[in-house]
Amino acid sequence: MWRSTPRSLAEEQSRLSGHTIEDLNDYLDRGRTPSDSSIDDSPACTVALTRLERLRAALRRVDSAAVDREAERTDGWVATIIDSIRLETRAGRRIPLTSDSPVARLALTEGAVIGVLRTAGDGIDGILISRCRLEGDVTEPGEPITVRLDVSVGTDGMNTGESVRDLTARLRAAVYAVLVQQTELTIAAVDITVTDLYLTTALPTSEGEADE
Amino acid sequence: MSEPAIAPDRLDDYILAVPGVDALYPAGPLLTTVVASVVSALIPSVAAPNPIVVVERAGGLSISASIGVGPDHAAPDVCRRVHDAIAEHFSRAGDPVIVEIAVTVARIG
Amino acid sequence: MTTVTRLAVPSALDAASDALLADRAADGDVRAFEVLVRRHGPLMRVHATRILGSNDETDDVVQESFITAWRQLPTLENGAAVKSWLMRICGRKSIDRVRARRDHADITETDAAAPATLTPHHVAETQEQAEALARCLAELPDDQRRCWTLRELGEYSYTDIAEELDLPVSTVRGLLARARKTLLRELEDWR
Repeated sequence: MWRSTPRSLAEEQSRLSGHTIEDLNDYLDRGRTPSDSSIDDSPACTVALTRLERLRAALRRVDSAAVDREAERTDGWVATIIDSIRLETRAGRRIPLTSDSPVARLALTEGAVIGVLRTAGDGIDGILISRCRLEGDVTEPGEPITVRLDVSVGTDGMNTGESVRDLTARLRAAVYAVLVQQTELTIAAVDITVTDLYLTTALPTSEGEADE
Repeated sequence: MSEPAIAPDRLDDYILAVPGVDALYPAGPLLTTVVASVVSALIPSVAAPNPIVVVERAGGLSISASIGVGPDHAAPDVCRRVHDAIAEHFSRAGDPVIVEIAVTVARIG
Repeated sequence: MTTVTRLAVPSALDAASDALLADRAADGDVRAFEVLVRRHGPLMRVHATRILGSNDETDDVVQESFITAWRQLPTLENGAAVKSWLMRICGRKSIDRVRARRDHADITETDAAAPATLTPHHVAETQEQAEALARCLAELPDDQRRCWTLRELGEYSYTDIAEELDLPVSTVRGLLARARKTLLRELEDWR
């Protein structure tokens, strides 16, 4: 294990008005709060802080250059990763389907249903479904099921004069249609919660309107 | 009981030929209630695990497959057609006693 | 219902928030996961390479990390924290590799070679400086470089680094201090 020798540490402290480089680095980590006049008023400390900040800035450039280089790679590393997870579908519960055959045991996975509902949402401009839950016992035929959707809405998907409510009504209709075509579930309700709202056109640039 | 006479990789092709089926998935724990010995489904030269599991039980064969359904198809119908295709395949391959054909749709669209 | 207002975004999933992508990926959406891979994979690759000391095993470590992430995403409670969560998985996998390597080779200071990516260019001085610093960082002793990258890229606390590397906190502080001194000296050479 390594430690500063007492002598070099003492030299450093006497040079930096009783502080070490480590103290100063911690001070920067804290965002210089609470402010410490024994550091701020020391010319030697100020010089050392400037050096540390220069180092931080230079290393940020090093890091972002390295990240950029990796992002430019075209050797298919992303595809390799995606291929390796594609077969690992999220099954969830087993949703039975009817059949005339006495030996048949047919089913949809809950994951398949959630996936196709997500796709239905993506088919509507301005809608992105983030979460989808099937509430109720889907493993029991005929049980009433409530579909709960958390969605992100972008106003660019709205037709002129259309409200968020109109847009979610379109989503609800699309979701019902998919559920009828793709499942044998008994749907009690489709509950949609808008958790996120995106504005399309930039906010008016006139002064004082940019309240985030 | 006779073993299925046709190699399961043929069965793969048979299932993939069913309109609407665009993928076969490795049968997951959701499906496999493997109580008896796994028959010839785990064939030699396994580059990829065979997605169709054929299990020999006391009363006969139990067959499991997990499929992906392409867009513009109704998954329940495709699922039933896959069941029919499996039944037909085995009836032509010596017609062994079948106690269960489990088909699961793991992805739609 | 909480509503967050943000500025417009061009293409739906590519511009979606980490939280939304993480939620979708947790629900099984491969496309959303792919956006996360493209968005955070490059930083994870840099992180893994620095901990490993070379890029020989970077592909494997990053791939393993994402496979683990895919499986465990449903357990991630706050999707907005997916970046640091991914960095943790990646850091841990990289350290596991280093440990496995030690068990096999019984040496502590392996692969002193600089990464192949650092070919010298004659460009603007800041870039030369950046490259010199990058080289300096790559040539730090393994334990110093590992602490440094966990701190700076992984955003670990000193205590977390100590736990992850199974070292006393005081040692971690010492290693980071030494690395900092070396890097500061390198920077001074460019005055």
